[in-house]
Amino acid sequence: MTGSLLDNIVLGFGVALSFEGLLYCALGVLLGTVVGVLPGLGTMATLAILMPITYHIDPTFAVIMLSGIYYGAAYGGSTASILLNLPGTVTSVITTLDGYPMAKSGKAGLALFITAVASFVGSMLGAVMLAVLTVPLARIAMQFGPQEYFMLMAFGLIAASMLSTGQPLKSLVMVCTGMLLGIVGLDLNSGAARFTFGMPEFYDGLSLVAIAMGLFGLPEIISAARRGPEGMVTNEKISIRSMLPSTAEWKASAMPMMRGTGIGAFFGALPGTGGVIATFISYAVEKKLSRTPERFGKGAIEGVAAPEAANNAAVQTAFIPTMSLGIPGDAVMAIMLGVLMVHGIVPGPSVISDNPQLFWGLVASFVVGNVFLVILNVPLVGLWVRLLRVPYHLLFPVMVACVCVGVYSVSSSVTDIYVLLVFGLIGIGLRVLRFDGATLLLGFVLGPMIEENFRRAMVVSGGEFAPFVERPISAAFLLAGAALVLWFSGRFLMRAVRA
Amino acid sequence: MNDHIRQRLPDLIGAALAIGLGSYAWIASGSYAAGTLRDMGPGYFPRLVAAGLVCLGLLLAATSLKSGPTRFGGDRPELSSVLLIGAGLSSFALLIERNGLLPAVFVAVLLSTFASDNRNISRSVLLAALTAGACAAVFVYGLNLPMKVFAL
Repeated sequence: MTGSLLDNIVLGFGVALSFEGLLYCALGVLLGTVVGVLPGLGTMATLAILMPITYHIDPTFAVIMLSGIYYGAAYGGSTASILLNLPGTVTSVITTLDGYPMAKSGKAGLALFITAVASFVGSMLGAVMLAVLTVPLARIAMQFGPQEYFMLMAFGLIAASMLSTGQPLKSLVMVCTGMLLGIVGLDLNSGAARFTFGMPEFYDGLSLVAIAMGLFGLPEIISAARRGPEGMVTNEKISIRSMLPSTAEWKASAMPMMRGTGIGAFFGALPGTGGVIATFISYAVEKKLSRTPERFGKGAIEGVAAPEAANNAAVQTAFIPTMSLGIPGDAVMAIMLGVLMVHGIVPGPSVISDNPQLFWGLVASFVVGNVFLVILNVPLVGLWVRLLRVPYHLLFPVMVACVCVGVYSVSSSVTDIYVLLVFGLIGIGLRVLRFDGATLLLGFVLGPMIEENFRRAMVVSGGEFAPFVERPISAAFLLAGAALVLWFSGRFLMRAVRA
Repeated sequence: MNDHIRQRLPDLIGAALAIGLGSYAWIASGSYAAGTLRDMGPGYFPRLVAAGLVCLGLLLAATSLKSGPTRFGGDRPELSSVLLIGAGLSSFALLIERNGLLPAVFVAVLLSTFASDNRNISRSVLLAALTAGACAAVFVYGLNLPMKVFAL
């Protein structure tokens, strides 16, 4: 696999432009756009439904399709944000702040167009970073011992908690709760059944899909059930002419897109943080840099361009830790790794060298998929507007059915449906108490890997903590994590003293 | 209950739940061998996380008493919606194994439709039937998911 970048790119496009490559990529981004546009039906449910069928196709095409759903949803999510003031996905929450006011003042077309351009720019640059950074990172990761893995994941969890949208301390509580939930099942080293309540159904652990759908899908569906027919801001057709920005509008949104891409790419590549945080931070940055911050929240074009670029860049760079280290940065990536494992591909630094056609085919498919998405979101935007006009009281029962089938189909387990139900209730409770379910899910995904690497590190060192500090990379993560915690506790203490 | 505590109830309830869950996990993992730091047993890590959770819960309680009032999250769903959709999910779970996808989806969708303000029964039945048919067509015949379609 030590061929040049050019060879690899040729190899990748060979896969992505093959008939099957194009087919699965188009299918993925189309489905992704649909689930992104419809509020309440998340990426997770769709991945869950499609996961079993991907067992029968080549893993490269399986991952191409599932990834298409992931970044397609990141495009589509903003459509409902702009037109209905309802975010289609969590990463487009921030787009409602300025996208909806833009639409209300008759600039719906422009907002949709800028969103598509920002998404395209963010995605493409993110994909370039993925192509350039993953291989060197995988080479470094070859030397990672359990200490480095442990510290990197611990840092990821701390960073995600400190930077999450909620209170840092509450997010840490969620991380620990998630790690406890991740313990449920048979212990791999000793075979002991832990926290299984005597039920053999739990020996394999709790279903990730059921927990994710319960925490995010169900509360959304349930609380939206009573929503009346929402006022769509525009009843006219959105013409291509109304979508095109003026020169001034191009100028106003170019730099925010670049900054958004940078912020998104950085947080996407960190395991744990990711798209949601990146959108909030890039919005805050634009507001701070703006000479007219009072325009934000009233239809500022920068407030749409930057977060959308950030969100889509983060989606692409989220593949960096997944493909180079085998560490999933979020629940979707955990599913992606699960699909690879079903096909006998062990996540880790050797994935790319063992399966170059998989990695480079995937990268090339991102380019192809993003071109599809621009077509889907600019000339065909009327289609999605029409989809949004379908009354919600007709849509959400169908979503309930999709969620049920999706959760059940993963392992044909009825218990998973009850797990879904219980976590739906927990998800509602977390919303009421203002806890961030995303960090819980992260703890659940990374917890077992953290335990595994911690135990291994301790065996290797004979019970000594010294290697965590002596090994430079591990020490760097430790320092960075400690600095984050100190900074946030310092801020809290300052506030407490002043109050 | 004085006002100071009542205004900080969301965080204090959260803290209490964290402490409760942590304590429970600590006690429950007591039955798994802890082992030593050098050779950890299945009980070591759970105890570590449980202790962390209790500490964080105490810290959360302490800091929330020191900081300003908090509010409960808005957007609380109606109880009837929760119950109806919950009933829909449960009936799916009860029906899918023995009776197959068609009846399971039909009942789940039918019950869920009443979670909105909709009271139009014939429309609900129609939507449920259409969804069940579409699910069977797409998932079983289209995607070949291993599921029974219909059995009595």
